[in-house]
Amino acid sequence: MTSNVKLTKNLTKHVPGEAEFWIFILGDMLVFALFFGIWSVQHMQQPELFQQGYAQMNHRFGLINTIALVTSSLFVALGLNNAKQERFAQAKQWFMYALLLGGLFIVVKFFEYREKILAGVDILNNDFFMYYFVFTGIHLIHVIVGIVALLLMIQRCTKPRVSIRDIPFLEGASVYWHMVDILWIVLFLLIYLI
Amino acid sequence: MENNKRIEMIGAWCGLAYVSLFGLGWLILARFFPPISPAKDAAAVAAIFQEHHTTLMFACVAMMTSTLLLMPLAAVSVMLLKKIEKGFGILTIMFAFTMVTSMVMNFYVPMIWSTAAFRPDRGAEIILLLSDLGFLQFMGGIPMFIMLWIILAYASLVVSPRENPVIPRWAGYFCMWTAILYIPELLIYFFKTGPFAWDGIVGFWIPAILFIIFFVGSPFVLVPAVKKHL
Repeated sequence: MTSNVKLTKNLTKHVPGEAEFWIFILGDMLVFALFFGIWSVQHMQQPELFQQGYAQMNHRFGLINTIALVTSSLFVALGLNNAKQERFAQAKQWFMYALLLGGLFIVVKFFEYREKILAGVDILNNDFFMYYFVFTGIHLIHVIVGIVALLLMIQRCTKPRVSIRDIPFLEGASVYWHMVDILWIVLFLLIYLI
Repeated sequence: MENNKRIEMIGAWCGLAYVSLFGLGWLILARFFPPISPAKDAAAVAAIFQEHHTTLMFACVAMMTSTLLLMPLAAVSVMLLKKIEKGFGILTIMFAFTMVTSMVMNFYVPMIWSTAAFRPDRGAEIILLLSDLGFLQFMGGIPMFIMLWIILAYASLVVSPRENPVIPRWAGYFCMWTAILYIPELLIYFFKTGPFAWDGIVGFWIPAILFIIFFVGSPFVLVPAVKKHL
């Protein structure tokens, strides 16, 4: 027991995941920061077009997806805590709940896109919707990658010889999922609320 | 064997040599930085090819020739992947294929621009067609080369052991990041202006900067790898 406590303690002092992985996380966040900048500049340049665009957004879809991702982020954190205490069965459960919510996000996004396309928005000539589709689309690719990461996390926890050595992977994948969540919150604020 | 080692070492440096020669063509001679805007009409594009006809031809020759430097680089990378995979496995073979298609593209894109510059007095519409064909292919041709980064990332992050890896893990993460940032290149087919056009931030600047970092940085990863693992 004492050795486990020591291991867990050491792990919490570490950079979560592995230091090299943060090249990817920070790099990706830098690019999204650029996207947010592009959105803000366009908003300032075409205030009327963006006002019209905001009026056409379906806030219900945006809100459901925000709640889904924030909650699933919480579940991933709870799962990771369980894994660090070597309760891998419980960890797996939390990761599966997180996975379901990630799936919900994709389904809702599908219906949101469908609604916009059926309403006949002109993606190629309306800057608001062009940026909306491209930025949320690139974010959606990140969600799909995250789903794969969650599946791998679940697989790790199911492994018969799962051990504390698997924690760095679980941590790295959790960090990624939190990033996907944070990026969505900013997108939600920019696209649906402001 | 000694001699082979020397060629392998040259191969490890070839990424830097490649990007220098290609950059000489693209940046200094053709001045495609940023590229000719896709929003320009036929007359404006034809005027560029007419005015800079000679420098563009030299630029194209430099870029086409740079393909030669990709060959030793490709060979060394394939050999290193073989080490990672412990034999000629599927990753090594896929990597070899994607290097071949990249080389084909690296030659034929400047070849198309050289055709445009070859008879600058031909119709503006034809010059525009050739210019478009070149840019669309070079920026939007990611299926020809994106596997390069996906395989490098997978091989160095998943297949390699954590201790004493052939390719350091940070390089693997860099490749993963690069691959993701190249996906929006497919959007250049839909836009003539804005950040996703082939002269925009997402369509050009981000991929171009990553491209330069990747090839300029390649000797720093490959030279130690050749020394230690080949």
